[in-house]
Amino acid sequence: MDGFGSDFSSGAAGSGKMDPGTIMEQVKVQIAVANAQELLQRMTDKCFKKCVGKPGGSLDNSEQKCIAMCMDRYMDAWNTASRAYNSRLQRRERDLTTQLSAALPVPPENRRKRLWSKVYQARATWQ
Amino acid sequence: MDTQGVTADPQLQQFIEVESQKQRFQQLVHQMTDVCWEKCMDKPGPKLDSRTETCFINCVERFIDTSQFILNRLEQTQRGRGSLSETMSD
Repeated sequence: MDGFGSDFSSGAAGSGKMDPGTIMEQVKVQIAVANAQELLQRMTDKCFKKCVGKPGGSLDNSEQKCIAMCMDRYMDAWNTASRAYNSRLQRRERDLTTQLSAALPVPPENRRKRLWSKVYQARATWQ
Repeated sequence: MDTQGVTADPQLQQFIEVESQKQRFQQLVHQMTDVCWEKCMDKPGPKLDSRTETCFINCVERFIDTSQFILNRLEQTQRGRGSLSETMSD
């Protein structure tokens, strides 16, 4: 995390103290960058496999067109997967909430806390 | 850096938990997109047709079902072992 390290030093240079707000913003940026990198890496892998046959001296026109389409389809696929997973999580939270409020034997305190923390965790993913 | 101060800050603690959860979500989406691409995508076309899209949605659902199935069955096998499951359930 070299970028993160250098950001730290430049931010702290003037004040000598990092406030939580700045830390949080920088962490968010780093996370976003990491996610973008992951996405690009996987996309490159998939589209290379789909579009490039026996590697020639350069990428020909058909290969380039294929890669361009592949990129868009990969984004579509990613968004579809994201939505589907999100719906599934929301459904699971509804089920968990139903379970908690149903007239079941009351679980012991620690198990009840764990069930609630599951609900909060699920909710946190789409806040 | 005052590590005691950082971890004692409830705002940062909350932030870490929320971001970690978001990141787990993102990672799973990356993984499922990858796996389902192999299962569902033939030749990339000008758009995502409905059959492919349905395949992706089913794939995500079945992936989660598989994960759940594995966890449940693991729990069952452990419960069958008696006292071991008592100590492991925390």
